Amino acid sequence: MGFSLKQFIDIKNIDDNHYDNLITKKIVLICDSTSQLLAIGLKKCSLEKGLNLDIVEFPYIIIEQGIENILTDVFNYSPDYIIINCSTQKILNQYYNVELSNRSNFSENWLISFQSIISLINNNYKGQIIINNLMEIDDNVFGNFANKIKQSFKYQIRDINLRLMGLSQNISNLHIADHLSLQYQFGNKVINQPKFHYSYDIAYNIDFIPTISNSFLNIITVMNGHFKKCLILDLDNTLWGGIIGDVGIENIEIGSLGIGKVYSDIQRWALELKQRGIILAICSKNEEEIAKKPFLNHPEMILKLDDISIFIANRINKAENIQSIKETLNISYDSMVFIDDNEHERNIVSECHPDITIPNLPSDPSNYLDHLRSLNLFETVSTTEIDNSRHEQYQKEYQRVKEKLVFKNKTEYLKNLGLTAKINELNDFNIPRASQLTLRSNQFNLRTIRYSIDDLKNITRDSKYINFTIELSDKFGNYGLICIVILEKKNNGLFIDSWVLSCRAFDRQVELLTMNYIVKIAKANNFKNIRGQYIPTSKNKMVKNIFKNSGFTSKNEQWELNLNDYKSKKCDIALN
Amino acid sequence: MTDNKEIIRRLKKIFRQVLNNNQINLTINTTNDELEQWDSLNHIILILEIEKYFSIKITAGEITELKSIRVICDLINKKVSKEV
Repeated sequence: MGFSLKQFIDIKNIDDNHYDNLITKKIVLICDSTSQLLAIGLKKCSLEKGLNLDIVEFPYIIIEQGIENILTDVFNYSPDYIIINCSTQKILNQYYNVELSNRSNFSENWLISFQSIISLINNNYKGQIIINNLMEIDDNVFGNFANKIKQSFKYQIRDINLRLMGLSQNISNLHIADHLSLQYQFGNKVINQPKFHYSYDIAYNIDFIPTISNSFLNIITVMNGHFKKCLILDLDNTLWGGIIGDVGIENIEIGSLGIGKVYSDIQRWALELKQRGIILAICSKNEEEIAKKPFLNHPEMILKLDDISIFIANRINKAENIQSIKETLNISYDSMVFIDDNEHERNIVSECHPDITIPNLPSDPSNYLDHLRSLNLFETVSTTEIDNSRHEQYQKEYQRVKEKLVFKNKTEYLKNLGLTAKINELNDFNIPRASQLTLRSNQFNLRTIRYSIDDLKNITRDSKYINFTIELSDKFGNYGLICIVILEKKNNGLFIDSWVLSCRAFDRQVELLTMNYIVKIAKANNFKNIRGQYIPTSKNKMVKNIFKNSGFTSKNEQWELNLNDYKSKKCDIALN
Repeated sequence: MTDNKEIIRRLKKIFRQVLNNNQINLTINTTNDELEQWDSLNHIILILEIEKYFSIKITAGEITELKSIRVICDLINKKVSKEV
């Protein structure tokens, strides 16, 4: 943790032109103390995550006391994100200034002022707001008794944190960076550096600034499509104690045997992740039949075979097995986490697939779970109901992959799948999933514009836009909503503002169906042409030629299709 | 360590690195008005580097006083002799 001072110095003197190839996000940083170091920390940590930040700083602003004087500047800059950093020290000072008789309402009043500021911002703002929750300061004026009385600072600060959570649940663009959990993970001695607080009004220990920066950045990177989708687990000495091939199913440590509780808790954690939408895969050097046995027959196993989307147990090296997991799931390596107790295996996999996250494990298994939880590997900004059923989707996909091997050619395979599509406009029911699709998809995504739920709602109200979504199903089951298209009416033509296809529907000819449908819309509305743009990122190369292949011609860094030139594409998808 | 020359030689290295300028020369009489890059942010980084190199702790009160090489040298001398 922490950067060397040398790194601080380097980042201070950074040349922005160096990072032209990275996605740049505009940030407004509002701090109630000095902002300079945090701005440097944010910049440095974002570059490590492949993101470049343009930061405008507003230091010494106590937000709940009003921000009218900076509001114009903030809006003029039109940031993608507003980061608000509050320090508890400043709030404690406010609290001490309140008369004793009013202190039991302090948190409520604080929240009311804060909420009105957020409303003021949101009147003119479409981006995201991130605020930290408050690390606790225990002034120990009341000792333990503070828990028993409402007017204590302890009570008020905890109440503010709880109310902030409530508020963010009602304001969709307000996100909370959980500094309180950093406090109990790292402790005050690591976080605070009073001498710089008192001499230069710096809120944190300088070594701790990267951790603080990352807590804000984790939210930003997730909103830009970087997050984990799949957890790959080893078996022997990772999900249970002992080597099953040697000791047999009745002697593996799980549940009541030996230190089995250690592994039960790891399994319980994995199950919770699965229920949140993380795909679980097993990759183990074992005989498949022996490895599967506990999942089927051991009464104390928490994870059942049904919870695992892909189960690979063989003697092939793990790097190859993980490659086939990756190809089946059709996700990128950087969205996978691999957990294995064996350092040798971890090294092999990390050498072949450097983008996979592979946590080192402590030597004592009883420390595994604490360590894994502390890494915050599975950051997210949304969940929808379909997250719960995601692993089923992949289990079906695995059936499809197996079936694919039986058919000689792709056309025959696709025909046999019995694909059916349903086309709908955006509506209140599908907007959450459609927004998630724009946030999560990186590969088939022409311009990589991310849309929040509110953004999409606005688009449905704006007559300038035409939109549609596609749901897909086949004989194995439903893929759900897998495509969203947003078209903008512009100069007698249609401009393809966004076209996103979920990776689980690749190779199904959905793109042909989509293009046919876009043309149909254009003709029905008497537009003369369709224009499109491909904005390259490190992940969307697969759609580089989509316009060329659909008959568009290149024009001023965009693509244009004359409607009369379009030949409708044949595809084996029935419309419902 | 009582030799100011040796201290200044080391300080020069730290200053050049932190202020990102290899032309900097320090004498016992240099003050922070003379060095443009010696701003408050760099001041903090300088303090941390000095603390680390000389294995001393500088207090909140002292941090704001250290505006010239002479004061810095005096402080280092005082602290180092005390702590050895």
